[in-house]
Amino acid sequence: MEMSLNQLTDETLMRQYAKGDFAAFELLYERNKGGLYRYLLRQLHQESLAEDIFQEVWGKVISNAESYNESAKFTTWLYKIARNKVIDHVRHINVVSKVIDSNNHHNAGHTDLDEEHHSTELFMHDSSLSPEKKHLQQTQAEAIDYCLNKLPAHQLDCFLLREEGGFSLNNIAQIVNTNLEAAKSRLRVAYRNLRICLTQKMDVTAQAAELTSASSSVAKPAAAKSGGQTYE
Amino acid sequence: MNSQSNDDSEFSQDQYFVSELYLNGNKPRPSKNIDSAVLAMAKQQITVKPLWRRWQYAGSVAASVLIVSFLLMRNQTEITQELTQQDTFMADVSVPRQSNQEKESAIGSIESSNAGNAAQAPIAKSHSLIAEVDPMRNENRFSLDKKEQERINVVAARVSRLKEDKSNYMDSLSKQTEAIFKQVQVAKQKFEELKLRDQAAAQSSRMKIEELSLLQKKRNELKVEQSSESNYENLQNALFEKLLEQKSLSSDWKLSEKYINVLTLEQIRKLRRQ
Repeated sequence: MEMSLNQLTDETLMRQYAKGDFAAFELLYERNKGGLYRYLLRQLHQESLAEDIFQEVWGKVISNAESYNESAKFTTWLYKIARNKVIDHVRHINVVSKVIDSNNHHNAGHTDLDEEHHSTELFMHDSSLSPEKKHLQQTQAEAIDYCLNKLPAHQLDCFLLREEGGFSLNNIAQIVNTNLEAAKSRLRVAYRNLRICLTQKMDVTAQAAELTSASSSVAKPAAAKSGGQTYE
Repeated sequence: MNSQSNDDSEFSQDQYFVSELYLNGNKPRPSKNIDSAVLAMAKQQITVKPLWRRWQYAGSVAASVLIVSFLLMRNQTEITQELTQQDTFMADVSVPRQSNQEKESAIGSIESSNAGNAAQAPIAKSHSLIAEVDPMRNENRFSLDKKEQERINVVAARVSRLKEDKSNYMDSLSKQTEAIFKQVQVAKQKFEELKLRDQAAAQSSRMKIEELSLLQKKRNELKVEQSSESNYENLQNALFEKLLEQKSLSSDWKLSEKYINVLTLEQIRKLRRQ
């Protein structure tokens, strides 16, 4: 009885690739590429840099395929490589956060505009959504981007490992080289901070939207009135 | 316990809220170019590998064959070298080699002259010559062994002589060592004696010094005694003169008994006479 590739675990797929099965690697890549890319992008905040490191990580996976120890979880190994690459690149995750903070500080307006543009662009292509829904999603995406940028680097690391890698606390602790309690604490604080930030951000946006709609509704009759007056 | 469960429920609420928003949010993915680059890298890796795998067995077999043939060739050359050395050694042996060579050359000439000829007589001749040569070869070998044995005997004799010389030298060396040791012992004894003598001399000199000091002390005492004696005499004389003066002044003066013990006999006489 032969199992299809989709039913195989990442570890088995990796072993099959090491034996020369390219299809196994394709599936393995397809399963893990999105999460890994976002893990890098959210931390590095620069698309080209994230892509470079993304390629380096997969290059390392490919070159070390034969020496891969199947007893270790594949995703743990993959994200560990990715994390080490990030640290190698910016020397230390704290330095990364400083760099990010300073970049945000210098280019605050520009970044916000870019993100806004990017998010808008994404939702503009989705024609199935109603304008209200599009607006809501855009607001949420902007809020998430904003709040993730505000999160300290070590909390962001743990959060992304949880959300993008789907790791358990034990695995997160293993990847970030810390104990279980520290990882749990970081994750707890990360979620708490994000919730507070997102709530505030979305409230502010909603209030702004309400104000905009109210002002437009006030302005329209006034304009009509003034127009009428003009015609009159 | 209660606060722990509260914390956990808060954490799960936060997680639910944030995760829902995050999962509904923006999901960037790597570009197609990156995908194709990574997949090409992976493909290249597995196309390079089988090539090596295909060649690794053939390559290892070829390498092992080469090694074995090299070793065989090396052994063969060593054997041939040994054989040629033996041949040259045999040739050097002083035996009636000339006749053998002549016979062998005769065989050679017969064989060459009878090349292609099936006549039996020359072959028989050659066989007989070979039969003659073989015992001579054996003789040569025997003489060679004898010579070797002689050489070995000479060397053994030389070795035994050297051993004897060595043992003699060792004996003489031990004797010399013993003699030097005895001399050293004697010298040591003398040194000890001298040392003792020195010590005795030092002791006696120390004693003499002590004696001298004692004598000095006694002399000093005597000096003191002498000085007290003269003082005593002076006093005696003074007393005598006083007593004389008393006697001259009073008519019934008598020499008291107590003065008699102190004054000299002559002084007593003088006092009684006058």
